[in-house]
Amino acid sequence: MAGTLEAAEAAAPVESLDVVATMLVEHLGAASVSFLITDFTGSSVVRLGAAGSVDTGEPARRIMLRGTLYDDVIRTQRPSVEDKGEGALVRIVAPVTNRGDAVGLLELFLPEAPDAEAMREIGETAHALAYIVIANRSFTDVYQWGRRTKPLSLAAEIQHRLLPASLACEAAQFAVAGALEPADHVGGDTFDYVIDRDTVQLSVTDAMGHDVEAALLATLAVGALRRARRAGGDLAEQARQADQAMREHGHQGYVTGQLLRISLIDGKTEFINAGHPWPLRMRDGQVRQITPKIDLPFGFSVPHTYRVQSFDLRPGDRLVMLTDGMLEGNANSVDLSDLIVHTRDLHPREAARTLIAAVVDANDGHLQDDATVMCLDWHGTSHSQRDAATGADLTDASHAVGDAGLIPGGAQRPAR
Amino acid sequence: MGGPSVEVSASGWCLVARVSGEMDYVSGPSFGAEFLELTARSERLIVLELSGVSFCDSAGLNVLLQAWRQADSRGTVVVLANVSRPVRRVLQMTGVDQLLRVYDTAGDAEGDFGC
Repeated sequence: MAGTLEAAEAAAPVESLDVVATMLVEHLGAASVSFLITDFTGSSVVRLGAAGSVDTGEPARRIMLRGTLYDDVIRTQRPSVEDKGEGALVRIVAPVTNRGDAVGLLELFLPEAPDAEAMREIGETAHALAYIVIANRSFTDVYQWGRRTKPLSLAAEIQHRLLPASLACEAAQFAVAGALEPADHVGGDTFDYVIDRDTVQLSVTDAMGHDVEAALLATLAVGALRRARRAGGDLAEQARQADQAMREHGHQGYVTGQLLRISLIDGKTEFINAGHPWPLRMRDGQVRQITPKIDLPFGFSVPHTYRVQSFDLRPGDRLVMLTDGMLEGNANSVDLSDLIVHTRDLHPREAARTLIAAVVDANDGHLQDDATVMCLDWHGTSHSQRDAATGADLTDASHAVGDAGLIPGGAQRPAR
Repeated sequence: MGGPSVEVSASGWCLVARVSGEMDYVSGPSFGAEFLELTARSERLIVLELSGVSFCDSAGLNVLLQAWRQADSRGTVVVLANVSRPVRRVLQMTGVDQLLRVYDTAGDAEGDFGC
């Protein structure tokens, strides 16, 4: 692995894939190696060949995941071998994942079926590739280019930059994932999470209005929340500063939000509801809405305060936070509680995307308002070490499609 | 249902405005202009009768808040009446019902303010 790191460091940022490809060709005699990057929606992948063949002049070719081997590998987070026999090349697809963030897939063709040692090397290389891609994506647009299969509006571009660099994260005590589908006219949704030594903090916010105006309001809110959080402010202080920033610079706009902080020491929760849709908690297969004390959205110019509240979170619980785009208009026809129950065996990464997909389907692919979901599985505080040699905790991974009778990408398509 | 409309009737120092249409991104500017005219009349009470409003998103909410703000600066009270269930839910979720009182009927609101 030291060799991989050295070679990756020596190569140009856009050529990191070449480095890995060359090593796999040399060590295992691979006939072809490619990297497939998951796009922003998580519903498709785009093949970034070895860097020599990357041509940014053409639109990225999108491979829909639904029903493919790629989909199974992303869901199960285990490599898959397809051997047709009769001297045909053997295809191997391995997950390229870091801390539960499914960055993409490594696909290679070998002249013969790999033994256990070769599979170990492929798995390790794919895991290393995740780190190489993450380290290099701040220097080049190549990976950005691969992730966008259709042109983004200016508002959507701004909105993407507000999200955390990884949309999913696993730790010993929890797994969290967020998914956001922008409306045709971006609605100003955003989400954030951060893990510190003793806490994990989540926020979901929804800026008023549409398009660039909403994206700018969202920028202001996220900036204020992050600044207060990074200065060590508690939830009340974060809310206060977001509210102040909106009142001072928001041109009478406002942002609704929900802020959550969970102690990794004792599992205690704190949250603030600033005029935002209420969180849902699934426990023992039953979904219940948590009824908060509601404070005003950030930016209302009337005297108000923010109350820090608590709710009960137990190991095995799944918490779902969302924005009103998941509830309004045609999304109404989607039974969210039912869908949360039906997707309970999925990793939060796939569960969040399935919920979003159901709402997108209910709106015939054209959302009036952004739809956002954050999904958090609470494992409890009894473990402080995560078991994830390959970049994903395999006990948390989703089943392959068909394994558990789960229907991908919109388990319950609503009757219309 | 037709486009956005506001029908105003006055009794004493109270105005009742019957609002119809969806309150959203599209209708926002039109309602905003109508409400600005209403609040400029500086009456004691404005009742926004919302039975004809089946939908209100954040843009619609903002128009209501703007009206509340303009009225408040002139010493006028704005209240809501006859609010449909989905709109009532939005008001409750955002905590806006803490600023804009919601009455069952316009008559109840007028009674409360002695119109």
